[in-house]
Amino acid sequence: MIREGEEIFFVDYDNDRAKTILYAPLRSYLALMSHSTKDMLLDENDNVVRQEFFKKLKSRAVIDVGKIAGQLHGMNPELSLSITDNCNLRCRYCHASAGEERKKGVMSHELIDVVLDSYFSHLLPGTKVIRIHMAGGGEPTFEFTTFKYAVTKAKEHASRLGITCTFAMATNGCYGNEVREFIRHNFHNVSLSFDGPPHIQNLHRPLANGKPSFEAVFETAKYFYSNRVSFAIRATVSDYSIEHLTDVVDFFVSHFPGVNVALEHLTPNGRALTDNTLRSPDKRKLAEKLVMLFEYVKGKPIKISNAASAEYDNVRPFFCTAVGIPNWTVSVDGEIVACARDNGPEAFNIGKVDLQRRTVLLDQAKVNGLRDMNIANYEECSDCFAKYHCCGDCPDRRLSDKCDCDSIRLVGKSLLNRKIDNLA
Amino acid sequence: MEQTLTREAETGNTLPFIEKEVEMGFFANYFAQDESGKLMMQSGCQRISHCSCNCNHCSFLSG
Repeated sequence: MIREGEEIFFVDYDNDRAKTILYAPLRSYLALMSHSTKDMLLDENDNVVRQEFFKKLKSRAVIDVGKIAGQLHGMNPELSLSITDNCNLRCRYCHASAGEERKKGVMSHELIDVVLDSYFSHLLPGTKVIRIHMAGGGEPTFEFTTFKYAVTKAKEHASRLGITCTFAMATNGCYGNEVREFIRHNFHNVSLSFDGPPHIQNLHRPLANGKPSFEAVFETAKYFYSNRVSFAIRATVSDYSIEHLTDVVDFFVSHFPGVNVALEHLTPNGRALTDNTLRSPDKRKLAEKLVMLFEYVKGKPIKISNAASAEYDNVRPFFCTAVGIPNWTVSVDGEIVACARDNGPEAFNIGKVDLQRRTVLLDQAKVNGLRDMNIANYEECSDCFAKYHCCGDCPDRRLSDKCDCDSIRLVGKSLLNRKIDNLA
Repeated sequence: MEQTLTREAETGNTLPFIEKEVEMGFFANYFAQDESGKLMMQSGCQRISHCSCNCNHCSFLSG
């Protein structure tokens, strides 16, 4: 709500219902007070409590989310190359149905050349550092020759321009030492898809031949860990694994202390629509589990995260840079989408690579449309305390009506309570 | 972009009717002091690029 020109929210204080938490995210401020103080702050009539409080609040620096949004619009897009649609795994919930009959494409070297030429010529003057992702529907290392070609060519472009080119990737970790070493020497951020102990990993993410994937992925994780590769673990939570989340956390913290683990719920896309082995977990239940886990991991060398509900380290106008900038994710056949999520909405298809003219064609109207997907334009979020943290949730989920505000708020309320209680 | 307020303005004495205050720390994520001590807004934040879909591509949490 807006009072005295300030955006403030009230959140229940769990330890004492006679008190309430005031949250002013754009002032980076949280306060515990009585309900009578709250009533005076909201009183239509002028009073000294209201005067003093807002005087103090206004004395704090303010975060201008509009400026942040404007800066994002002016940033270089992050480039993602979908090296292949193919994969050596057949994860039961794969959003891309990777490896299936019509999902075995590989990016041509010609396409990589044209994309890189266009991307580097598109960079803003004075650019010093860029980050290129190897990400898409399939496992990028599955086509290792093409994968290495793209990395090598990007480095050559960057070197010619005096730009530092960093690389990031999402990977299933299912390969041997040659690939591991290449990643170790070339990649700066790795998101390793790893769902937990063998009974979970092997159920969720079997090999293409149906055999278990755990051992190979575990070895990769150990390799990354012992060789100090900067990696985080992304674990998808299903209706099966939600019953074992403390085991999942214990497993990761015991083998990889200090690692960051993102626990994200299974979203029914791609193969998950036809493979009924696993289903989405109950979202409310997952939110309750996350709240429990934040307490459970206290003092343990692990960070638990959840993209929509648990981002309380900053405020943001956009859920992600996919819509904020927006980014370029190039498919194996040269389509350019803002987000690598397969079967994303048409609004995400922002351009294509024209091989004949050896250039990239962007639809500026669609680019502008994506930039409008920010919290300032979500009227239904205006009175929600979590608005600058979930940012209306993943734009794709938003367009496909898969958001769950109640769960997001449940986790957020818990985190703000923990902040007040000095637990977070 | 310059901020006219200094970091000192981020904290202050607690009012008598406020039981407890917490600085959320957002400024540290978005602002840095330049050589003259002024607060400058940093351009963007890579941590914004998280996503939560099944594709795994955006959970680059290790940076």
